[in-house]
Amino acid sequence: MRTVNRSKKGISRTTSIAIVVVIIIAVVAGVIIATRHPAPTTPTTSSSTTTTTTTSTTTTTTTSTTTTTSLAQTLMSLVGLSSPPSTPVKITVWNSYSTSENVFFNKTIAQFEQTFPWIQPSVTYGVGVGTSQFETAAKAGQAPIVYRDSSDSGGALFAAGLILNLSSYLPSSVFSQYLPIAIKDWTLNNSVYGLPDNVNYIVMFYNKHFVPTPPNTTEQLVQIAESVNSTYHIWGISYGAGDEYGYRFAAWFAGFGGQIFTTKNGVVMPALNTSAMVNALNFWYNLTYYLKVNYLAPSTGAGGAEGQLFVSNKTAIIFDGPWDLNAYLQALGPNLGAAPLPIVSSTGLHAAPFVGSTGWVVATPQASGATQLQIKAGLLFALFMTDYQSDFSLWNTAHDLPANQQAYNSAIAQINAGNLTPSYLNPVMKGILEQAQFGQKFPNIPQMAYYWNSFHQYATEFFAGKITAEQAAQGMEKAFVQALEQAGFSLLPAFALAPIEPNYED
Amino acid sequence: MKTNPSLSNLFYILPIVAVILFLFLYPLAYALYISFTNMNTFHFFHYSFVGLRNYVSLFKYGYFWTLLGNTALWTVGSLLPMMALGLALSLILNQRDLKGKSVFYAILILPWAFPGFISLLVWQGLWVDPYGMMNRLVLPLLHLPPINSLTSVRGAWIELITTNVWLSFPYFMTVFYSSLQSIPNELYELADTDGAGAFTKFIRITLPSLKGTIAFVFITSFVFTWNNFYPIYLLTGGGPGISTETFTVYAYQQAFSYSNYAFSLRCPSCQPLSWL
Repeated sequence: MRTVNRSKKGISRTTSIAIVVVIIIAVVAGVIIATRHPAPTTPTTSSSTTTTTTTSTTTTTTTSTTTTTSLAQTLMSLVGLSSPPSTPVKITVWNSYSTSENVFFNKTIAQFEQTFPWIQPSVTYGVGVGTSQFETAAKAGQAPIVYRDSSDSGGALFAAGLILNLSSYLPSSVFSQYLPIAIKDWTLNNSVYGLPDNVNYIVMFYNKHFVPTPPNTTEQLVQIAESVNSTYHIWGISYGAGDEYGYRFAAWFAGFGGQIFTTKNGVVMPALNTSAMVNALNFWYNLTYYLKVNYLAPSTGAGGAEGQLFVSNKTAIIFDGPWDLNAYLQALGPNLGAAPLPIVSSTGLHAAPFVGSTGWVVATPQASGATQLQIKAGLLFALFMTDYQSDFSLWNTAHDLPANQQAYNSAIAQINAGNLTPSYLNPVMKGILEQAQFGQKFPNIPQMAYYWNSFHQYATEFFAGKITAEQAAQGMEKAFVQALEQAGFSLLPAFALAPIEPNYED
Repeated sequence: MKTNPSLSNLFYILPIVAVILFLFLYPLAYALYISFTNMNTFHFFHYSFVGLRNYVSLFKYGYFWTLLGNTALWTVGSLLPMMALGLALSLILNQRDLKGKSVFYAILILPWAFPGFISLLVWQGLWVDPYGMMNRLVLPLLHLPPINSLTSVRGAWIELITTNVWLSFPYFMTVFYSSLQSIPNELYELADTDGAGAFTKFIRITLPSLKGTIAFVFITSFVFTWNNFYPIYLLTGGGPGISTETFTVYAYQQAFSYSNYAFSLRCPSCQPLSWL
């Protein structure tokens, strides 16, 4: 009877003890984690009033004020303002910078507020790049006035009429201040829709302990991977081709002679169903399943399986972007090497990664409800964040590759002079910048949005052994066409894919 | 003037009617309406009615049947082992002579003590082939081959269903256990007097007494599992290809990868149809 009575209680003593123990363990684990990785102090909204700029002498203050005033006047003239308005102007800003980049951002926004005291930015930190969050806010007419996005998703937002055509607001001389590849990334139908603050692409990171000299060709890549595998019993390469959405794979596709879009009779069409795609897929399949030198990692980046294997000396080569550089530098130190992706031996072409860009866009009044004055303030913000001083500061703080021409030149000069610290960072950055010569423009036409899932669906089936490379190439092109059809793109017999005209209202 | 009391009583339910209208019926009707339009990134503010075009394309491209098959496999494949395991464990816990019952119960409901999302991230790591604990330790111990959701569709399903069973069995166990405790002991004592064996008692007493509970649990869990999104999204993302993609995952990807909002909403609208 005692057992029955006990079981009818809500929670028995033992259960209560067990629950308390679990909670204690969870709390202790939480404390340990928090102690090991102190959380960055990034407020959800801020106007950076806590950052103070002190000047030690009157002379410095005067110079600083003069420079600030002069910069303010120059930028204001670019947006058609002769003097500051009498009342403060509030702007909403969505910031997609990473933790290390936010060190730069917090410093720069304080300078911005000093330069334009009449503009009051309200910043939301930690927003991801991409269209979905912005679209959701825009639907309610509450998109941020200024948003930092990637050039490809910015292209879709521009085609949707959600962000401004900056060519109508700024003189063309402004755009010549940026690297041509960066400004091309932000141009659609001869209209510039964003101001770039960096260029980005993937490179080959290698561990010098296992790979003293990086491979120049895919033949050398295979040889090195096999040698590393047999000598050190670690993976030669970690490349999760089996879970790809086609961002990194586009480099190999190009190396095998392919391109995502082609033009036939003046019409842009998808071109995935090619021998280049078949060969590129088979190349990685062979490395993975027959030679067994590539680890088909389930996740990418410094925090994913690829990065974790690389930092723990369990793989010799990975393909990743400079955005993860700090993690690799910390783990490998002078053993870290960076070089361009190799030449594909069978074609003689460089594996050419997408050269993309992130930058600042300004929402249309319909999307954000902004007034003309707020738009001008937003433009000033974008100009300020991407000018020489800011972009060079972003490079120095987080090693983002500058999109501003002058900042880029200064960065190159720094590397050539070997001025980066620690000193072993100089050859790494040199290798990263070298890759820019062999990249391809990141397509920013709105049709590009339908490439990713089409590629992913069939590439994953191929690497799971469900279909052949030929079927995968056919399938991904068919899915690409279907996705475009479903999105209502013009599908005439010739399958016209000319970029649609943006329906922005400015 | 005298008011009709039955009419005035209706005013009292107005708040709940308003809540239902705005929080349930309006979004439902709006979603249904959008599914008949061409609303997407490129027809964002100015979209138009396209009739059944979105629904036709779902069938035309063959996605409907694949998604229906996957969703049914996911639901039934998860539900049967979850219920069987939940019932088996509740029967064990219900043994009168079982010592340390509370300890066992506390251990068995542990999967409930952690947020599902966090558990899934942990499981994601456990399944990594060959480094995760499942592939490095547990499966070799059981003399089973490794499971890799990237390289095998079968592996992806095993990974999904095993994880889902682990996440969900405490619910079934708890419901069945509480229901078992409500069965009068006298019934078993009488059966003992009649010389009935354990199996007969289970078939003649336990199962009929649990009939109502089983029906309730099955129906509610069927709907929940059918629409359950995050295990699939986090573990396999619907892959390889669309081999493990369900209606809900597909709808999410259409909305937030493609920004095809109209397309996305036809899937939830199709679901009652698929149940029929």
